[in-house]
Amino acid sequence: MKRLATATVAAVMAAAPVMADLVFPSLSYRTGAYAANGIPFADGYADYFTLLNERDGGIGGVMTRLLECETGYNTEKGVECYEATKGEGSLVYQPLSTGITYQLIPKATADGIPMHTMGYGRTSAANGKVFSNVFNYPANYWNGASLVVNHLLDINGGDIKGKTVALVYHNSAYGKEPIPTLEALAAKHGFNLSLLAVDHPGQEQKSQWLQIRRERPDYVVMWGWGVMNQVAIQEAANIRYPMENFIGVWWSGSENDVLPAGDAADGYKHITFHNVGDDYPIFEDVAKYVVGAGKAAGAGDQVGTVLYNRGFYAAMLAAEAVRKAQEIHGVGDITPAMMRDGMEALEITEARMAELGMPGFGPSFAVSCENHGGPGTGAVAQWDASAKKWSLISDFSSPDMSVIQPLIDADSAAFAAENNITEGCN
Amino acid sequence: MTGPNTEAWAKYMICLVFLTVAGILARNMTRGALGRKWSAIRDMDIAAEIIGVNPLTAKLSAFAISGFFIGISGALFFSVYLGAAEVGEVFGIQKSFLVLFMIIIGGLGSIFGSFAGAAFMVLLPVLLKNVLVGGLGWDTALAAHLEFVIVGALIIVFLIAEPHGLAQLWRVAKEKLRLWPFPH
Repeated sequence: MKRLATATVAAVMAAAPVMADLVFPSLSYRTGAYAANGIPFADGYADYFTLLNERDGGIGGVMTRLLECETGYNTEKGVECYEATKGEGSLVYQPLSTGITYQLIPKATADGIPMHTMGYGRTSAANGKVFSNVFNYPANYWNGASLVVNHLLDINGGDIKGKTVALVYHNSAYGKEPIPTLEALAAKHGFNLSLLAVDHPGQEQKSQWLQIRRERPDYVVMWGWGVMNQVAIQEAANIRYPMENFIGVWWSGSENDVLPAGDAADGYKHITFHNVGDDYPIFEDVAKYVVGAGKAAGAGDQVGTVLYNRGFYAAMLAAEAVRKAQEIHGVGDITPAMMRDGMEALEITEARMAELGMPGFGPSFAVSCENHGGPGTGAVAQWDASAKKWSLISDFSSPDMSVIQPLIDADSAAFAAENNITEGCN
Repeated sequence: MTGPNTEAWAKYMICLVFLTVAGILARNMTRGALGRKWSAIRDMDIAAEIIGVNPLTAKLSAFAISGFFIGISGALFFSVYLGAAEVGEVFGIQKSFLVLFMIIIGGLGSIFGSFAGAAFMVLLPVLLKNVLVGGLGWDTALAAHLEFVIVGALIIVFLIAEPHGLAQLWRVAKEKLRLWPFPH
């Protein structure tokens, strides 16, 4: 018995010492109805950290480690993945699901781990005084709704009174997010909003599109995800709805959403908060250090697609926040609390992005305690079915914060009251 | 005991208390007169009616009492385990399938079977993930897909080869182990 005890102790001591590393959990979904869109994002996220490890030896000299956990876009599994990975020193959570985000907001705040819900999640988390651990820079859903309406105003010379706009949305927390803002904007600009819900997973949309064919709204706006996007674009093509009047949010504008409809999807638009395309110097590094070295996540064929770029961008923002945290606290191996501080002090400039090899990839912005949501700027991109490319057809412009800010304040105040949170910035 | 600040052990204990009380209730009910009426209706309802078991009250009470237990478990699942519920997804058909498979694999008509089946259905994905993703380093999607395949195959195997499920396997194992190597 004594020999067994000493042998065990010796074995434990002889085990390799735990290397300090920066843990990034990736709550991805490579299965299920949303896999087509979840896979490129997860690939982009993973590849950026692989690039940093291979090319630079990590961030600030500390290697990164990615923990991938399959959620299948299921809220319950997402929460289980969170509970399973939070003990490993996870620095930031990016669940890529509004449903999972809503459930993780109280848990992550209680555990002191920051969440970055870039362009999704709970929009009012932009108010950092109430949501200390949730960040959604550089844009959120209410910004997106306003950007869509701004684009409609642009192409109509500033007046859309009397026009009908139909919102085809995923019947979940995600799809319902823009409704309050769109209703406020409808009251302000005088257009009629009609709401058409599509239930998960979104493969049955015939009745919604029959209604659109009957009513012929002037514009259709889509808040879809996963297989719902592809089916909606195909249905719109079937009823011969003019594609240039069909605008999706940034999650409804990826190559795999428009490719199935072929040439019929020509002219489909989506709003985006980052640039599109694959001719950035950093992708040469990716080809050399990641895809070329056989270390690409997934199949390695998504480099440069819209969602891959978005995952890549999200990872870049996380890495820059780590650098900021390392700078503020002076240590290489940071804790989640330090990561939160780094995210709150983050500043992304055009010069820095160009230095990284991603010039003009996204907006320049600075995060502050009052504003966890960034500038909210976005542009409109249009699909060219023959060239099979997205291209920006407008400049990056700002949303109508005079409508959005009061909504954010009201919603976050309601959350604070419900959960006894004292507003404040430390 | 609810809310994000609860410790995991506190959540476990509260559920354990409810489970113990419910388990004792269920066991005593199935061994009593009511339980015998239920078994009689299950085995041959026409013969049971003939010997004087009222089929309406037996079936209605079975439905109502099992609904009571399910209500307790649903409330605990939502408030203690999950903390919040995603409308449309959390108590959907997938959850019903999961519970059905737990009972089938565990063994129909046995209380121990429900425990064994539940443990199996909850732990199998975790085990698969730890072995395949953690141990062998396979893709997470592959592990998730394999889980479907394995669970489906197990349902078929259990329904054909051993309809009384894990509970029966355990009973037979106990009998054989009593012959050798643990006679008592």
